Amino acid sequence: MIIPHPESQPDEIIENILNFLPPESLLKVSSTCKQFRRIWKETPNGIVYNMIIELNYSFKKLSYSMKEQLDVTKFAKETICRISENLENKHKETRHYEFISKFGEMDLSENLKSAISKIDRVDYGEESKYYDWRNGMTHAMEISFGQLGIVRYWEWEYQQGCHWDSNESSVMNNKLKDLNLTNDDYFIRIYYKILQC
Amino acid sequence: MSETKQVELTSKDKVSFKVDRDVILMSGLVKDMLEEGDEDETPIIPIPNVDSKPLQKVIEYCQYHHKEPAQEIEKPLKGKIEDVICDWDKKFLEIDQSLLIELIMAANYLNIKDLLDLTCAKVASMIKGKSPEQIREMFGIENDFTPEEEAKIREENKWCEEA
Repeated sequence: MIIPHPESQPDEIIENILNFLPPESLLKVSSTCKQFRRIWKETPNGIVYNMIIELNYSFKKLSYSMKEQLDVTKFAKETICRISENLENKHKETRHYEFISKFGEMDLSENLKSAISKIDRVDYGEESKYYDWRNGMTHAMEISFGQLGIVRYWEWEYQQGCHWDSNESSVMNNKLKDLNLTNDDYFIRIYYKILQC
Repeated sequence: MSETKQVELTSKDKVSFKVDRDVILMSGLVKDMLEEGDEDETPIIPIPNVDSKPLQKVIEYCQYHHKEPAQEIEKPLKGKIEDVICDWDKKFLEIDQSLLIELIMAANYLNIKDLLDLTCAKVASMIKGKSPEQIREMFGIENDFTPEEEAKIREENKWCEEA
């Protein structure tokens, strides 16, 4: 009645309202209609949560247990939040580059840093209307923590000698090769980060 | 005796308001328009997007706050908005919801950042703690998700809450 149709409210007003809301409320507001969800996805809070959502989708695809998914996403969330802390009030476009450069400052191997710095392409369709960098950072998170990385490594390390199936191994190896990383380089860094948290 | 320079604003419903120039300079839009070099004694500025009722409120706000700049409101709000604003603003916000929404639109159009923040924070304070259904009802928002999309969102939100 008051707002005849949500689209009649300019995006910048909605964004301004969202800026005053704490995370729990943002999730609820973003579930009310498409316009609100679209705008939320571009706020710093939405960016962090959407990385978590993307991570979870990739875990789900690989049938990780809920607990494994949550362990990894908790760690990912902390890292992304730490990075985004100082970027809250920055303009959307500049956030992208700062995200990338903050990752650059982290204690990662040179190869991994350079890999992350190269990731700013749009390469999955449906989301491509959003900013390139969100997709890029999702990939960066995937490389740092996700998919065939952390959880498999935990299992692999823990069970000592329990090998992946050859299909997963070759996907992993190809991915690392694309990024100019050796298996050791990747695992050492990932493991180091797990110990830190 | 030097007279205070005035500006005349005309609302969408053709009501005129005479305002001190210094007061209405809080509006970025009006400021830009006045800088375009109008030398009239009392320039007339049409505000075709804003009705007289919200415009009256806007002027009231500017008359008070051009001398008493508003304190920045915390983002996100930790408690209720009433905990962080001055008594004058609290009284100012004692308006019905339709006028509040009109005020937001007016503050946005006229580019008055402090007023926009105040009114947006008020809406945020009303939204806080409410369920999606309550928010929709409160603001007459149409739920344009399909049932499948809603299920997907519920699942995604669950991940975010637990992480």
